[in-house]
Order: sequence, then C-alpha cells, then structure tokens
Amino acid sequence: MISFTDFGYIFLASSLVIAVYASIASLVSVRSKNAYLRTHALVSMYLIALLMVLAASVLVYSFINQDFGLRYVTMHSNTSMPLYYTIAAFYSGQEGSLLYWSTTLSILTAITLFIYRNANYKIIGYSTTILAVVFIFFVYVLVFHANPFERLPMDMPDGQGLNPLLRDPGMLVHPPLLLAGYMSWTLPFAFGIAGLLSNDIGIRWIQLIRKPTLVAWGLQTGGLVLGGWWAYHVLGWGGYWGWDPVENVAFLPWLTGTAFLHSIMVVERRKKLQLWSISLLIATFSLSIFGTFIVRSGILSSVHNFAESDVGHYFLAFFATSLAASISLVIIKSKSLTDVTTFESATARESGFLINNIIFVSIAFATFWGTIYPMISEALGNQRITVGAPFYEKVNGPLFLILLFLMGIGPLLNWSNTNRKILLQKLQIPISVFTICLLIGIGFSGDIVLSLGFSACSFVFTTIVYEYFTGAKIRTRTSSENYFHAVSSLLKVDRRKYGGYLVHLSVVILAIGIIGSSGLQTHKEINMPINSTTTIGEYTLEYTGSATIEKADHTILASQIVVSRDNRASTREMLPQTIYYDNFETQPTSRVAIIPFMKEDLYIFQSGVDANSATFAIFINPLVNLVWVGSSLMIVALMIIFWPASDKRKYETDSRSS
Amino acid sequence: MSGPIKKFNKRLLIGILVIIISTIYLITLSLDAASAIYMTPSELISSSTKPEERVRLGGMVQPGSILQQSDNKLEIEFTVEENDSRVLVEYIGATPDIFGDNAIVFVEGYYSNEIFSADTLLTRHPDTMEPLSQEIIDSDSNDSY
Repeated sequence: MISFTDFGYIFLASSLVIAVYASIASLVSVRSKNAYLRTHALVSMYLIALLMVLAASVLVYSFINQDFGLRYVTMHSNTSMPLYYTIAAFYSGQEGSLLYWSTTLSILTAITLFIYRNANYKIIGYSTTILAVVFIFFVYVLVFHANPFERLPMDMPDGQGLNPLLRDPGMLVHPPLLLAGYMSWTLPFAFGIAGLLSNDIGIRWIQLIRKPTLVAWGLQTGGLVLGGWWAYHVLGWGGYWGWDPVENVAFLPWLTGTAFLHSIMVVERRKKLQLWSISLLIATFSLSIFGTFIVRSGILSSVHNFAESDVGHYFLAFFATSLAASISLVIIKSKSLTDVTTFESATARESGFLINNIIFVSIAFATFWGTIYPMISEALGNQRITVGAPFYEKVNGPLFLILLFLMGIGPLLNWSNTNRKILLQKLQIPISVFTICLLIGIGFSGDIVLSLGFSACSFVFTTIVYEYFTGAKIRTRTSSENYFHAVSSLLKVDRRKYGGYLVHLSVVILAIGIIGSSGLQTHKEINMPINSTTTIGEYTLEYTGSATIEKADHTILASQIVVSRDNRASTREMLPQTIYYDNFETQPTSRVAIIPFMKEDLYIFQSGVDANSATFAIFINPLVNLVWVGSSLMIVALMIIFWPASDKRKYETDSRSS
Repeated sequence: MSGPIKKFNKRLLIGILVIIISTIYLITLSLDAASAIYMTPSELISSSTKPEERVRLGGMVQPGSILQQSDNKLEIEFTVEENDSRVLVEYIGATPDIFGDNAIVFVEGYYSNEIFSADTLLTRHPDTMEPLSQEIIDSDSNDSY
C-alpha cells in the first residue's frame, strides 16, 4: 500500500529522471542549436523545482502531522516541541538538510534560468546542463542513500526530539542560511564553466554572473554572521568565532568568493584575470561542496568516522570529480582564451585588486591547511595533531591587517595607472588620521598590535568618507543639490561604486568590533556562595540564588545575579540558565545572560550549581555590538547594490566609470 | 594557467612574492607552536611524552571520578578513561554544559608524574547536528555521530 509519504519519494525519483533528461537535452540543444530541445530543458528545470517543493512539503507536512512512522520525523521531533522547532527539525539531520539543499538549488535555478532564459543561448544552455548535473548528484544521494521518506517497520508513539543545541531561535535561521550559501555558489560556478565552454568571458558573461554571485555572497555572509551570533549566545565561551573546523570550512568559500567578487571587476574593465577568476569560482564551488560534506560527515573530529559514513564517500567522489573536470577544462581553455596578463604599473587599480586576491587566497590557503593538516598528518602515519585557534590568529591576523589597509588605498587607484602625486595628495588626510590614532593608541595602552588595528580602521574610514565627500562636492558644483542630497544621489547614480564603499564602511565597523572584542576582552571564572558579590570592570555582581522551573519537555535551572554599575543607582537582573531537555538529559544547553551596554557586553555563563553556591564564567566583551551592527549593515549595503536600477542609468554608470 | 605573461611590473611581482612567502613562513612558524599532539589515555600512558610537550587528551569521564575541592570549587579532578586505561586530570576553571559522568571530553595541557594538568576542557563539540542517541534507535546506520 502506498502511504502519503511515499509520494515524497516518488517526487524525488521523478525529478532525478527529469534532471538527467534536462542535462542531456540542454547540451544537445547548444550543439545543434535546437530551440525545441532548449525549451524542453528549461521547462524541465522549472518542473524539477515544482517537484522538489512538493517533496519538501511532504516532509514538512509529515513533521506537522507528527507521522512517527517516518524514521526521519521520529529521529528529529516529538509531540511536545513547539511548531517552529518542529518545522526547523526539517533540516536538522543529514537527509533533511540534503533535501533542503537540493530543493533550494532547484528553486534558485528555476528563477535564474527564467530571468535569463533569453540571454546568450550558449552560456545558458551549458549552465543548465551543469546545474542539472550538480542537482542529479544531490538527488541521487537522496534517492539511494539518504532517503528522508524511509518508513520504520512500525509507527512509534512519540519521537526523539530535536537536538537541544538546535533549540534556539538562532537555529531557525542559521543552518538554512548557511546551507543556502553553500548551495547558491553552484549558480556562479555553472555560469563560469559555461563561459569557459563557450569561450565567452566578456561583458555579457559578467552581466549574467554578477547578480547570482551577489546572492551567493550575501547568503554566505548572512549564514556566517548568524552562526557567530548563535555561538555567542549558546556556547558560553564568551566569543563568536573559534576557528573550529566546521567554522573554517564555512569561511573558505566566503574567502575565495569575496576574491572573485573583486577579480571580476578587473575582467570587466581590463579583460585581465579571466582564467584566474574562473579558477576562483571553481575553488569556491568545490569548497562549498567540501563544506557541505564536512558538516554532514563529521570527518574532521576524527578520521575514523569517515570510513563509516557512506554518504561521505559519495561527496568525496563528487568533490574530486568536479574539481578534476573543472581544472582540466581550465587547462584546455587556457590556450584558446586570450587572457591578457599585463600588469604594467604597481599602483594601477587592477594591481590593487590582484594583491587583494593574493591575500584572500593566502588566508583561504592558511585556513584550509590548518583545517586539514591533522588529517594529512594522521594519513602519513605521524602523530595525530590538533591545530588550535592561535594558529589562525597568528597567520590570518597580519594578512587581514594588510587587507584592511588595501581597502583604504585600493579605491583611490585609477585603472591602468595612477598619478602618484595625486594619490599622495589624496592620502594626506587619511595618513595623518592614521598616525594620530596610532600615537594616541600606543600612548594610552602601550599595545602596538591593537593600536595598529584600530588606526588601520580609522585610515580606511577616512578614505571612504573622503571619497564620498569629494564625490558630493563635485555634484554640488555641477547640480544645485545640497551636500546631504548629493550623497544620496551619488548612491543612485553610481550604485556599484558607492554601494561598494558602503560595504567597505560596514567592514570597517565590523573590524573595529572584532578587534575590540577579541583584544580587549576581560573575563573571570568564579564560584560564588549565595549572597556573595564579585566585581569585574565597573560592575558589581551579587549572586542571590538559583531555582529550577519545570516545563513541558524541559527543565530550566536558572541563577539570579543582580548587577549594579559604578555610580548608578539602578540595578539590573541577569538570569544565566541551563536547560535539560527530556530524552537528552546528558546534553544540557546554556542560555547565556547578556546585557548589551553601549560600549560593551556583560556576559555570564552558568557552569554549575550546587546547594549553596554556583560557578560562573563572566566576560566583558568591549565593542562587540559593532560586530553585529557592521555585519547587518553589510547585508543592507549589499541589498542597495542589488536593487535593480533602470537600464538607462546602469548604462550611464558603466560608461562613465570605465 | 594564466596565459602568456607579457609585461609584469617588477615591484608588483616582488610584492606578491613577499605576501606568498611570508604566508608560508607564518604557517610553518605557527603550526608547531599552536598545535598539540592528540592522544588517548592508553597512548599517553605508554608514550614517552615530555612534560613540556603540549598534549590533547580525549576520552570519557569515568563515572564518579569528578572531585571538587571544597575550598575552591573551580579546582576539579577527574579521570579520563578509554577501555581500561585511565589518566588523572587536574583542571581549574568553569566547566562546559555537557561535562559530567560519561561525557566525552578533550583536555589540553601537559602530562608529568602521571598527572595531566589541563588548561582547556572541551566536551564533544556540537559540530554535528545529529543527536548522540541516534545510535540507540538507529542501530542499522553506521554514521557514528
């Protein structure tokens, strides 16, 4: 008898068959210029999106319907979970997250192909084939090795429930966004390979690839930021980024993707770095597959897990095959593509972009090396090694600092050559600001590294403000606008340039937050008897007792801490908590108590409670607010760039700034 | 891979080489300083680890072995075991959520006189989304989450 959930499987299997047809039809249509087959391929891709949405809906419905005959639903939910966690349970396991991955890919593919259906037939044709092939891999794994619609021999009375660590509002958005970020790099990758195959890496190609790239970059950025936000609020070690292997692999495609975002500007304006840009796309896509695979296989926590996970093998095979095929293609095409690699001036803007790319790739390489070094070391029969956060801080710290300086200088450079006198003139004010900040910083704190970091931020900030200022000044002269109006019309007229500056400005704010919260953090761990007090920074903390609260499917153990601030009469209450979920008694999770003051966060993690005392880890995280402010602004700025401008204006902009 | 190089500014080339070389130099320099040798209790006991070598020890907390000092509750002692090998661990500081009997822990520090002095204590990191108890109802799947 066919049950309702079997339809989910049928949808999956039919989308697999259709995708095979679409991949072949599209390839043949490019070769034979057969418009009929081409339409077939496109319609197939729309149909696949529909089938995948239906398959995903069946799983969502099974969760809502609490169908405990379905293995996946039983594993990840139970009757006492609130609805939003029940739906979030959808992507909390391997099968569901792969289903999520392929469903979002099919939707994004359908939308993109629909928008660009009448664009260059070769590029779109090849892209359709590549997108279908990537999709085939994921759905093949789903259909044959990780079927989310697998039924249990008999129905269970209740399910296991969601992993406690995932029961956090942050978890409702972070994993889907991060997976979507990984997934969405498939589109620029497909366009990149299609461009190679059709020997067309020019203006038309860039116009096609620009928006999908921005979408992927935005999703990936959002996923990383929310991951940090979640870690900060749940893990309780006082930070948001620990250079953990899983974080690193999510960071890798972001690094190469950001490099690509800069290198295509060189392709666009100077027709240089074409193959290099394609290579960055290949790296970004491969690293996204690698990331999805790492998150899903647990290979990095121990090499031994790897041998036991069969889905891991498929991922590794797909990773290796797609990488090998792409690299071969680049090598084959390197002769036929006339890539002019001429860099005549060190102070040309393209040279600035080249250095930017070299640094991004260096950071990616160092991060990749630190992450896989333990595996390599063990595979070679040496001792097992673990690489800690200090490695990444020591290697990436200086590289990021150079990148920060470059962000200040780069936008002042002209294409092909920069007049050094004018450059120095433009840099006069920023360099003065930098020097003053550096001297004040060292004078006050004596800490050279920190002062250098903050002064670098002040340098970049000044150059960006200066650029806006001069741009606005010219406008106030040529039109009758006032300064304020001029600044906003700059954004309208040259959205890419000034929107890009807004992204840079957000990065500066983010950098100040990162430098402040990592460099100026103070913390103490203390066991406090009831009604005792302790001081940290300008805060006095009194521990007044703990209590347990019983809830439907969990028990909360909360401690009360009364915080008073020097010279302030009012007090605030903090309630760090530990939550014990039923079925997961050995896996309690924390709710860190945080008071975000203007200049710093007061952050308390409850480590243990006994009859008459409790143990806390207390942190003061200066400027950490700016991390969240900066990264949110980054997304807003990206949306401003993304917002469609009228075609006429776009054309104006392009011709003016080239 | 990048086609024919026609003209390349010397200073730019030097700049790129400096970045690449210093990255590689920084990597080799920091890798040893920031890494620890990973061992299980049996490996640690049978090895000739020097007291100044940084070790990461992984194993399970022996049930009932956690002792808290009465005067300073931040000072704890516990035994990490793996089959029949046991190592006594000293640690000062707050403990993570999942720490307790039978928890899988990773401690980092130095080993001498049969005592492991740990300065970091991590429980199994939440790097997988699967519940640990999957093994219980999922005996046919061999993903070892």
